[in-house]
Amino acid sequence: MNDRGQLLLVTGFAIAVAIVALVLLLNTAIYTQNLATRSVDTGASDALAYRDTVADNLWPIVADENRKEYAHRSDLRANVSARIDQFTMLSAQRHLEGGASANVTNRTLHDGTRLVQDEGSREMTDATGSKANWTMANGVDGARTFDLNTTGGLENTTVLAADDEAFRVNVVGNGGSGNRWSVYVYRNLAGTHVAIKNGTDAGPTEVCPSLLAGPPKLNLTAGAIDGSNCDAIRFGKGATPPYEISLTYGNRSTGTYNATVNGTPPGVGNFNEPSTSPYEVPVVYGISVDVVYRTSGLQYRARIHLAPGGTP
Amino acid sequence: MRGQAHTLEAFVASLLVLGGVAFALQATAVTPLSASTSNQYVGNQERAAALGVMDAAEGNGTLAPTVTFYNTSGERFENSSTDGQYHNGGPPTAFGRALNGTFGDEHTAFNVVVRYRYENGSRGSEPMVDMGTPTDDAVVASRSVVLFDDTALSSASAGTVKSPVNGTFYASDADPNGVLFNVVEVRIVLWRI
Repeated sequence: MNDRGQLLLVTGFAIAVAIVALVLLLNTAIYTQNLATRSVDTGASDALAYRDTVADNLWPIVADENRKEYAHRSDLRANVSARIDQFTMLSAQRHLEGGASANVTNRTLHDGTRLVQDEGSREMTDATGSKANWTMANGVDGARTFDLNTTGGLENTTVLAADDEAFRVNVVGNGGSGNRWSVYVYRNLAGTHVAIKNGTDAGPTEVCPSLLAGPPKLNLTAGAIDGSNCDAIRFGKGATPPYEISLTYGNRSTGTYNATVNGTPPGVGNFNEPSTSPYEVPVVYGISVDVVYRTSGLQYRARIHLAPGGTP
Repeated sequence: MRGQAHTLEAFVASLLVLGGVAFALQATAVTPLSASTSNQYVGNQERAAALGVMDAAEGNGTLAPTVTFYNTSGERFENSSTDGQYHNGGPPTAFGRALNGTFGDEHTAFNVVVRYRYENGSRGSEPMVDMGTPTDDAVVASRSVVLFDDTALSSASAGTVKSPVNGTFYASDADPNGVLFNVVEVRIVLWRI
């Protein structure tokens, strides 16, 4: 009888131990399964979020510096760099606290120039007021805005004589030696006229006559006259970049213009410093930066280009 | 006598077996709520959901208006409790409603803190939602919101974040020389209740 009691006791213990062992095995299996199926989060979502933050918010900061109308390009570049530094520092802090390094490096600022005349009664001559045929900018790869707002003083002529007599803006391809694109503005008894000579045309053709009533406001980058669509006047058709932009018979129109071009004026003398018309403002036309995000398990680098509204 | 002994032995044996089973149940860590490595996927899912809500809010432009939903003269978030925080859920904005819709019925509590920066990069914070003290297995999700000098307040207070008509905004201008105002972080702490 004593033997039997011992036997039962031992059996009970054995079963208990077996169950505990089984449970431990089961737990290990579950734990392993959990580890194996856990999503591998390397922090990629944070890296992408950082890139988006930079890509979405860097340009407004640069654009604001452009609006400040610095007289010297070196001041503009220094201030733009300082603003980017401060933005980078502020936006990187939360990643630094999480053990990631976030930075905006390898910055390239693309030089651009804003050409402005804001005195509506002034003729479209150069800064001295003596030259009617003059170059506004050369080495231009594109223009973001080109608003030409004529107010009067237009020459009385016809489309046939426009090349010899009318006020016009010229865009000459291949740095000044290629095809010439021109937009002409003039008037005669029939009213005000806008004509276009594409790079491959021999002479000007009148366009969008129904839109015209008095001296027109031309938007050469969007292709609009007085706010209505006129695709025919789009900037630089038939001419190959880099462009040279010039005015001919600038004394035969008064008005204002505001152009932001990816290039620089040919030298001193054609424009004044801000803000005596006509003046040039150094601007940052576009910016390219590397967004770099590093953690112990991730290295992310993306080159982003910011130049909103540029023409190709 | 012999029958009694057998009965006792059987009882002891069954106690041992049941004790083993009880111990085994204690030893396993498979319940979704117990704080251990094996329930991390719940946290991962919560974090992913919170990031999704924030990304959506960022995409449809409702994240920044929540950050600027501030009563500048009362110096607290609009319509919040007297301590300046919301306690019954998210703020009464589109983003707050999205948070409530995502987590309100899922037995998940969340705190929201807005962290901002001073000019030298040091950190300040403004608690927005306080639903209690997070548990040990709480997870954190955060996104950045960039405010500019001309960002308008979305509350009834008039003016911009830089120059409100009355009172002051909680964050200060971290880049006084530029148009950038501040880079704030919306930080959500989530845990199961």
